[in-house]
Amino acid sequence: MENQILRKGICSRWLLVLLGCCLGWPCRSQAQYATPTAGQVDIFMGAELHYRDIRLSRMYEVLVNLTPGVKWNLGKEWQAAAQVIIPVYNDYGDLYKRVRLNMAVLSKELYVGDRHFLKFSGGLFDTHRYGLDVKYVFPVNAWLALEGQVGWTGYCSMMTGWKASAPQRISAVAGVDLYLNRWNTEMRITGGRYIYEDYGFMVEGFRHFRHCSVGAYVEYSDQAAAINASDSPWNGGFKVVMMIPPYRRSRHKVNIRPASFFRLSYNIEASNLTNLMYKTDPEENERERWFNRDRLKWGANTMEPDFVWKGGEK
Amino acid sequence: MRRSILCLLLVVAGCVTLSAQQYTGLSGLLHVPSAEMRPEGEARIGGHFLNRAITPGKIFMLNGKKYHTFDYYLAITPFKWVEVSYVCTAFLKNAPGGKTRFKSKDRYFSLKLNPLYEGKYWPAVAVGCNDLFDSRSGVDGNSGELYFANYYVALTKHFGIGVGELGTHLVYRYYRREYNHRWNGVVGGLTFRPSFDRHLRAIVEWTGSEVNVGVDYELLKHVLLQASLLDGKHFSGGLSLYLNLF
Repeated sequence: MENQILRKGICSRWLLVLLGCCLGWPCRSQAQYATPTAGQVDIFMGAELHYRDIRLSRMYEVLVNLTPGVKWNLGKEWQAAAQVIIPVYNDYGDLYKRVRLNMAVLSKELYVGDRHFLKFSGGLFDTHRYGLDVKYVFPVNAWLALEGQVGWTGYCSMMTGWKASAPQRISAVAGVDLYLNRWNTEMRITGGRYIYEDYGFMVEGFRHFRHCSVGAYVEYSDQAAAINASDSPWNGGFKVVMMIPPYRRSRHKVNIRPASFFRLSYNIEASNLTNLMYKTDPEENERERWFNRDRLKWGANTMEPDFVWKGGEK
Repeated sequence: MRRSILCLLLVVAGCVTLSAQQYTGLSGLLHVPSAEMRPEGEARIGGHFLNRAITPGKIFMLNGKKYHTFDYYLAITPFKWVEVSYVCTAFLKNAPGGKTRFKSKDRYFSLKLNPLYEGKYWPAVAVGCNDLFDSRSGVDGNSGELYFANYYVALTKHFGIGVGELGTHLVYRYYRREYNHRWNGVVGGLTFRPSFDRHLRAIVEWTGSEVNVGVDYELLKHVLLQASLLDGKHFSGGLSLYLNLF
């Protein structure tokens, strides 16, 4: 019985991430979306809560980090962003105890015609990767879009001092997005080579609600046994992305604001290293995705905006 | 003063009527599921005290004795025809000094589908399952887990009877593990929601081996309380917070 419980405990792991995310998405309807203007700086504070249950002696082990970040809109779709991790409470061990830089990214969005959306990023991404990245989305019509992401990265971590490797790894994923506008429901199928050189695919389904998206997913990784010591190449779980108030915000040259979304994800096999791609923006999430919603009016971007300026100011 | 507070709570309580097989986070009776569904878009988080009379077989035993435990859950109705929940049930373990502590837990998913909505002349129909997936061996369940695994087909029909609404619920249920087989077969129950307070629901159910009675009550638009007596004598109860995401 003990072994059964332990095994089941290992196979479960929670990740609750509180992150800041608010600006950058214009309103397509009557309300004015909180679109950042050139030169605008956003300083935001979020938090991460990780917890796991892999020991019989404890119900949970907890890791709490503060995740302050900054985004600077440089104009003409250029953006500089950075994020720091500050451990507050740590049951996970010494590896997680350092204050460290998590992200430092320069990015540029580019639009070719009205259907080709590109985003180039360079710098330190999360998940200890640095290098260059390109994202691409091609909306075929109102319910179908194609997407892809290619990265050339190396290892860079400040968890135990400074460790880095030359950027020699190519990761690339591509997929298809289906969006049912009537129900604000999205199906996403992506696959390819991920950052730990595993090949796999992921099928996700999301229902987008007002200020919240809830989804479930199934994934396959050919390296699950090697990377996570998992019995099965299959995994699955659920994700919740909830935008948190205030939804009406004041606009200044420098905006200081709280975290604007929390993300809760769960997977059955506790394998957070398979089918993994880095993020290139500290405020990237499954609801808002990669591009300015003023430009890419597809999917959840066609819903009422989560954040607007106070007084309907443009 | 107490009466004033109670009256105030009744006044501000929400107008949506809910029902719950609350210990799993899904709609239903007490220990018996039903074909009722929560409103589309509703998310729930809650916890439940589980009397040892409701826990499966010999799984929740320590030092030769069954113990009371609790569970907690997340649940959602993403579409009006489906409910899902994720439930953790705590295990009691021996601790140093001869003490006991809740140190680990069992996890399972519950799923309910509603292919036929209730009509004027026909009942709602739902099919569902608890604890379907074994994290070690998949759906074959050879690991010995799936402590709560069961599958069911449920029919529900409501009738207005002047003084309130009577709900009738008929279920065929199959528990996978032998130690739960006493709850197999045709089960069901009655619910009554009085017209003077639509937030209150009285429940009586037959689980296949015992008769349970209970009530649940909606409070402040976002709280659902449930209390029950299993086999007419063992208390169980819980609290759920709910929020519609639309």
